[in-house]
Amino acid sequence: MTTEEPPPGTIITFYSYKGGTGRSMAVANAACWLGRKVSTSSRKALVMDWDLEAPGLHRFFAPQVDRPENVARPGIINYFDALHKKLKQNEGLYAELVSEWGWKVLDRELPLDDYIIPNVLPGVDFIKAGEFNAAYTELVSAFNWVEFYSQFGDVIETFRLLIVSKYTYCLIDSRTGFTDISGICTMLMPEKLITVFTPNHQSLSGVIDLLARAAAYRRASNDFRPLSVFPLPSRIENAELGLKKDWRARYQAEFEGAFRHIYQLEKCELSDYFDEVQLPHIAYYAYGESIAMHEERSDALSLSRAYENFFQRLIELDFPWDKRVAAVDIQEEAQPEVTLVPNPGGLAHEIKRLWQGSSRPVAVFATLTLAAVVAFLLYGLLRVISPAPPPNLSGKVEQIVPTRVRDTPEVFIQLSVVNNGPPTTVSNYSLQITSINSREVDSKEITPVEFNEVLPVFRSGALESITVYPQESMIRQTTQKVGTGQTTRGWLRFSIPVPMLDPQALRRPGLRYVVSFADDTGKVSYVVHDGS
Amino acid sequence: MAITPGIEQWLKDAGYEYHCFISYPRIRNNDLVECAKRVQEAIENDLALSINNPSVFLDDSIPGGTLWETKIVTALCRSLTMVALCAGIYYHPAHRWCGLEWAAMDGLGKSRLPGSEFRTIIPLIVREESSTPEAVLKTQWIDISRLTLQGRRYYTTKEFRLRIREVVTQIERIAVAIASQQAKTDCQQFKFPSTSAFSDWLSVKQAAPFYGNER
Repeated sequence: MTTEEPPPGTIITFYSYKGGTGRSMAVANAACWLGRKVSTSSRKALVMDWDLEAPGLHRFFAPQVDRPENVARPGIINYFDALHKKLKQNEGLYAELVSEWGWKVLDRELPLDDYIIPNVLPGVDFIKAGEFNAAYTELVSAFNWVEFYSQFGDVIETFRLLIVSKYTYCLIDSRTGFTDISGICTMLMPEKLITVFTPNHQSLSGVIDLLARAAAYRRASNDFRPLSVFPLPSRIENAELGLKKDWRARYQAEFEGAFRHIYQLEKCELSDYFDEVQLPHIAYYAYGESIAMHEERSDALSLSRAYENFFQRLIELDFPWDKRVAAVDIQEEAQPEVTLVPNPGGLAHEIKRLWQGSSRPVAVFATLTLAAVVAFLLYGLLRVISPAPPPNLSGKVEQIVPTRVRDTPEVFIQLSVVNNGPPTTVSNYSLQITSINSREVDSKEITPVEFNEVLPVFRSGALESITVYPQESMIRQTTQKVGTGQTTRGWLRFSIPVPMLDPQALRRPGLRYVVSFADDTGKVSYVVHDGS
Repeated sequence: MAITPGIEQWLKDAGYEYHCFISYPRIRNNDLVECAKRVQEAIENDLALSINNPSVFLDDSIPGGTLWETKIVTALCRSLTMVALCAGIYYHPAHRWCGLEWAAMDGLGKSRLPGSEFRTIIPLIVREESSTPEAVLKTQWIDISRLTLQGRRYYTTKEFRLRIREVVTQIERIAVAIASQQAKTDCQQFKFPSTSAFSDWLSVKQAAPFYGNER
């Protein structure tokens, strides 16, 4: 693959152990949401119905699927049936298909476009389960996936490489239960696996079992993509608060335990995730095939908002316990645009018209409003063009002492801070260590830890006993206000999250220590030191 | 056991150009190259806390027109250690270069650190394999297979950094041991092996992805 190739798309499989969880509806809504995201880019989203035994996803896209040119269009089962026949007829084809550029050969031999129903939603293409004619059921039951895999298994990877080269997101609606097709959909195809479940024993234990097996398979495979799993509780009934609370605790604990084991995590906390991610049961959607994202206004209690909450996390985060939730701006699209500068000429004309008319109080009010707006804009302009005043707090690093406490490297920093502004407390101390000699800059932000004991420290390669008393803690001292012109001196203690690091390495020339702290107004000051 | 400026200078004078050589199998998509780049970057970043200008060799940046075989053989000989990104395909005869690189570094390690407890190869398990070759089983490995399942940005996690710290600690120990043995590179005398370290390894076909049949 050359560097000119766009990055491959992501395959996302939606799986539920039992039917009736709202899985296909979630796929249709995801397609609608993702389609909007990618509608202006060159690569769209693709949706595929792999629930071959009980296909139904096409119902959500009925207007396009039912068009005459699409009714007889073949689907997934027809594609693999045709591929199987070609591979059996042409002995050399398999070797070509599993070569580096095999996906291009595959697209030439069996053009994917012949199977695509384009634009079922803005930015979304669709491949249905198959051509729903009299032969469909027989074709599905006759196709032997185990035999196909044992003969031509690697060609499924070729198909995967083909679709991710053409689409930014590929959504799979998987078969339920433990079947051959659900194995392909959950073990071979996805990079992200959505386990849709309703709060009951069968549904929950089924998805927990499956995700453990799918992850174990990937871990022993030659597929080096991740397999991140996102649970999606569905049809949550808000009327039964007690049961809702009990089940929430139960499924959260089950997933936390499963993730700890699968990904070898010390801890896994899903409270924040499940606070936001749950699909409410809304009776309206129990009838027919409606796409909430398509129809509904997104208010706080709506199903479309619940989907949005989930899809944002699904796309932005690597895994559900990822704490980068701040990066996920759920309200991004809901915010109205605010125009701060109306047409001043037009407004002035309107005010002149009011003064000339009979509505004098309105004219006075409008004039005052215009004056306030102009003053506000002038103030804003001055703020923009005048440089920000320097922070009132400045500081100096007096000493840096690296040490180790119970296998954890730590750094003690003696800092003096001068306040040139009004009395203020000092807070939000943080330390960043930067290596300026390496090609890549390494930085580690460390949260300060309060003192609670007197510690021995290393100095000049030897153990000395520098006594740092708790009352010398900078944090403790600066919780009191520092007066104008006053200087405070104290120690900060930072633990370094690199357990085996030799503390002497923190003395190496070329390291840069950046200590930052903030005053009551939140203005941040920085002190830079070379660590020597 | 940090690499002091004195040790670092001695290693340079003795012909060591790279602190580590990354060995991995080429596959038909970019997933494993990406992993190799992340490991390279993480090792360099971590080493940068204790030495200036750490250098980790990865063959993805060999300029066009270079005799790549010569470049790889030279780079391997001029490396203190080798990190092998291990998975089933690493041992497979179709990826013979991996087995040759393993055999080459194993030979270099034995000659540079005779009788030492250290091997100069650090296996980093990216994917688990039920029939791991004897040569790999004998060496203490570091497992990142579960971590790399987490998501595309697994390399930003604390757990990944901790594993890389283990790798770097081992690189530092080996570097110090090589310097204390005064073992120079002596690449003029180095002969690249012709037999893979995994020539007697029997591949086990991965189970089919069907529930009930999987491993």
